[in-house]
Amino acid sequence: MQARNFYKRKWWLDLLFVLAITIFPVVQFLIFYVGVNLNSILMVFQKYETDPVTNIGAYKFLQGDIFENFKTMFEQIRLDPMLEYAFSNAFLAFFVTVGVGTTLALVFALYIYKKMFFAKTFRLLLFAPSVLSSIIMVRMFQNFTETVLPTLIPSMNGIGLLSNPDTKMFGYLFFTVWTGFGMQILMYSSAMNTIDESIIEAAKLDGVGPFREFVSIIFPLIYPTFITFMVTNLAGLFTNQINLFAFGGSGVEAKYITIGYYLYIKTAAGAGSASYLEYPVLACYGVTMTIVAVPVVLGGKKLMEKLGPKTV
Amino acid sequence: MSFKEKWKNGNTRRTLVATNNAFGWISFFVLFVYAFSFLFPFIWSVITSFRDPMSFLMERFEGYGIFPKDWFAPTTWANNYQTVLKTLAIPSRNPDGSLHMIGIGEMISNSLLYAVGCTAFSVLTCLLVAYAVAMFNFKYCKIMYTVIIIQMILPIVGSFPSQIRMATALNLYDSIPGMWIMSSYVSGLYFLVFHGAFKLIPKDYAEAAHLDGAGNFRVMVSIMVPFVKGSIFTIALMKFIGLWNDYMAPYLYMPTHPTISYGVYWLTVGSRTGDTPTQLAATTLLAVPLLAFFIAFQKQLLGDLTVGGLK
Repeated sequence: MQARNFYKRKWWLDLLFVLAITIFPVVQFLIFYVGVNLNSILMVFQKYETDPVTNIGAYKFLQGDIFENFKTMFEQIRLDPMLEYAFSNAFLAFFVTVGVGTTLALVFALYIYKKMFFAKTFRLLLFAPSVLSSIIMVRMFQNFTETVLPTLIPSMNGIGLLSNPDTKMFGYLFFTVWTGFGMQILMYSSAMNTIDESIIEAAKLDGVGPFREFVSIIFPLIYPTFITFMVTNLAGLFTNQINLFAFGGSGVEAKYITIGYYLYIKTAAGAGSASYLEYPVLACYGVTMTIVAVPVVLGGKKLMEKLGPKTV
Repeated sequence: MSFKEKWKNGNTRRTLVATNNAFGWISFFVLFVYAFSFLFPFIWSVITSFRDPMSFLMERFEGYGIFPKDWFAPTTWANNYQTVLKTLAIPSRNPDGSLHMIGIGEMISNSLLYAVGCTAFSVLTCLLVAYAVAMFNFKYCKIMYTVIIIQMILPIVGSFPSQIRMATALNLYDSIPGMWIMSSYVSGLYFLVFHGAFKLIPKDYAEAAHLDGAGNFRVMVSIMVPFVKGSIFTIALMKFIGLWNDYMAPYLYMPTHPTISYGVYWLTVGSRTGDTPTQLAATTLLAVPLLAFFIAFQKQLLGDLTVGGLK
């Protein structure tokens, strides 16, 4: 009986402790995740109206056609070529980031894991762009590619990488991949370090070559980390801005924008000013893209788990 | 450690064996090109930041050299930095509608308050939730784990307008403490790192302390958290650097409290300063403390951080 009371008291004390240390994060989550997203959903059925007498503006629910904001959004998508670019560039950025960026990150992480020549120095240099602000890296890259690069490469005919419309998008994507290795390499090489050395040694004794070692042993063992990064990339499909704001502020040409950049610029332009009118339509974009992205991310995750190498 | 010892413990052998193949050499070449592509523009930028803007502009017509033809003019070598320090001031509107200029000192203090406060709040919330989920078996903890993973996976797009509305309604918009609260969400990736680290600690330590009469709080603060202090330090450093560099969130959520990163963005994007050497002086000024910070804490920043899968 005494033991039962002891455990019951401990159970309550543990529960109170857990509630006490998590109350703030839970309330924060309820307000700034659940509340904000519910508000986004409500906003798509609202419009901003200014009272002609008091001159005070407020959001009010739409009367009559409650899908008016969605209609405006689809009309914008149909008529505005800017949005067509925004969506296609978002997909292009995703495939380049994953296809080129992740592949190289894995190769570099393997090189560091294997402690090959200058591995520590390379790790430092690969991580350095993550430490510097994107505004620093962008200004360096922009000024260098516009001035020195055309001098070094005569075939550029004196035109900078970002001044030539044919190479501009390549420049933005190259920059995104070039500066985006840091965190991935850190996580992948750390995951590789957790692999038991004896497994690698045993495989080597069996005559397994480096390629087979990576494909059959190392990659399957770091696959959960790989999925985590892939899911994060997939979740960022419609929010990736490929540093466009740092390159050109709010004035990047329509041909090169992504949907993440478009939404940020539209919101930033309205923040703190009177143009709250656009927010409900922007909320429609957010809700619609979330509806599209959720099954894509969840399906992608399931597919990767199903098709990927089996881990122990 | 002597070469013979290194050979015996396998490191050198692994290095020699590994580099003696095509993968090693190709990767070395690609990494060398990468290192060069980073270091060369960086050094060029620092050199150019000291150059006379006029002679740099004139060079445009003659074709730029890799290195400056005039090198530094000794009397003017710091002019660009002086220009940056004088010009870096952002006009901000007072509540009564009048304008006042925010100088570099206020921007640095805004950056410090923003970065330190947000780092402290966000790391603490991640740590506490990870501790609760990893150490206790309540259903509530399992629900929290599932919600965090779902939150990490679910892509929420375009919630800026709603966030601004919510922040305004709660009186958190355009205030630094408001940003501390808004940014103290549990980041999925960092949560997973802390969760994994706590899970690796044997529960015997906590049980022994409980038997000695220690309470939950004492066990957490004095026994369990010190085990993961390496991860805490690394994540706090990463968070701090990310927040110090951030200019987009301050621009959006605290427009009258510009940070130094936003200041450099403001100065270098658009027509505030058109000449390349002054732009590069501004970015060098911003980069130097970060690089010093990175070099000082590289061991902690590049320490082992492992993140598992999404179950």
